[in-house]
Amino acid sequence: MTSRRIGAATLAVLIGSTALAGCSALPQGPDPLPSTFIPRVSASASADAGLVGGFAALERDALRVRVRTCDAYGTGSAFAIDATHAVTNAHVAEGATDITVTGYDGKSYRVTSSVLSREADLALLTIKDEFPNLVTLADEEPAIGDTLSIAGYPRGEALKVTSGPYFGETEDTVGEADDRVYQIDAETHPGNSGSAVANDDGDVVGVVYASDDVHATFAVSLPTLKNFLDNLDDAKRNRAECESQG
Amino acid sequence: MTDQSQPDAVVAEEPKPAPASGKKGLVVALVLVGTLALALGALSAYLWTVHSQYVAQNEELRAEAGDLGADVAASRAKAEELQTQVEATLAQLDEAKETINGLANSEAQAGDDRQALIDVADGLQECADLRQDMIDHLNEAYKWTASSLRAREADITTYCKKVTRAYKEIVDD
Repeated sequence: MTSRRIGAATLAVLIGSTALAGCSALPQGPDPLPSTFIPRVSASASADAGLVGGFAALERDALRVRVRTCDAYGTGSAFAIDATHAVTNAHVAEGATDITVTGYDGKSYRVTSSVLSREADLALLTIKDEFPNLVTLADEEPAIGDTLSIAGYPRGEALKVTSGPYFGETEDTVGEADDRVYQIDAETHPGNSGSAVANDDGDVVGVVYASDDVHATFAVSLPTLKNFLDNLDDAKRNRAECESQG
Repeated sequence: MTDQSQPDAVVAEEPKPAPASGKKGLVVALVLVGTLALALGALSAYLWTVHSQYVAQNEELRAEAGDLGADVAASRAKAEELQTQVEATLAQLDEAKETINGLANSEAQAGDDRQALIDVADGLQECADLRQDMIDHLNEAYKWTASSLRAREADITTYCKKVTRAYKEIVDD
């Protein structure tokens, strides 16, 4: 008798335990659904967001320079560094009796005075009005292999942007300074002198001053440009002395 | 002698009462079966409830998926339409940019030409003034030596030829 009771009790315990253990394996009800299945995303800025009237910032910054000397006319390029000043090459502005700069939109600005660097092929033009588009100078020099862009007016004609890799440095063969200049694999022509050279961020890293008309463009380096702008007291005034016919 | 044919007297045994343990076992078994039946019933009810919840949620999800699919299809169609518009606008913008660039260039070239023409006009005016001055000198030729008058005339002629050449260059361009 006792053994049967024990057996029944054991069976009951086993059934009970099995039932309890089985509860844990029972499927649970579904979790409540989220309030929305649509993730929140923010619109990314378009690559063309910097366009104004179809012109990129570097294009809007480019200025065409018309120079009249005692006996000739010339053209070049420039870029505004603040509301009343623009940078170009010394060989563009030197000896000018009259200088006019024109923006990408055709608006003209009369240059009232100019100064020339004593060491590098750089000049600073001053106007009475205000330039609407200004460049930003880069904090760092470009690295070899960087793609650089040049915006200017080749041969004094329409605005054109060209670009190519910065492939090396060389000695300045035009200016009087014992200085290094950038070599860029990009096609430029007379008229591009004074064009801004910009990095991928659109910041200016140099100033075009010479080319071989094919695929080597030479540019004044960023440190030389900054040194010129930081020491304008050392610059010489740009004056033309024409012979009178009378 | 005893009659061996007569069976021995059989002592009838009284029926034994059913053992108590058997009844209890039956009761226990019935209880167990009942409990098991109840447990199975509860389990079935639970599973039915869970099943119903999943079915309801599945229907809800299907409806939501249908709505989202419709939204996606509408958004794709709208995006394609906008993309087409953007491409058309960009093409127009490129065209407008070319036009602006061309007009700005024409204006700049015209400015160059205007400046050159102004300078030539000034030069021609200067030339005329110099020649008038030469005539005045010739009217009072007795005041000047012939060689100085010839030198003066040569200078004026050189200057005027230079201006005329500049004018022809502009016209030829």
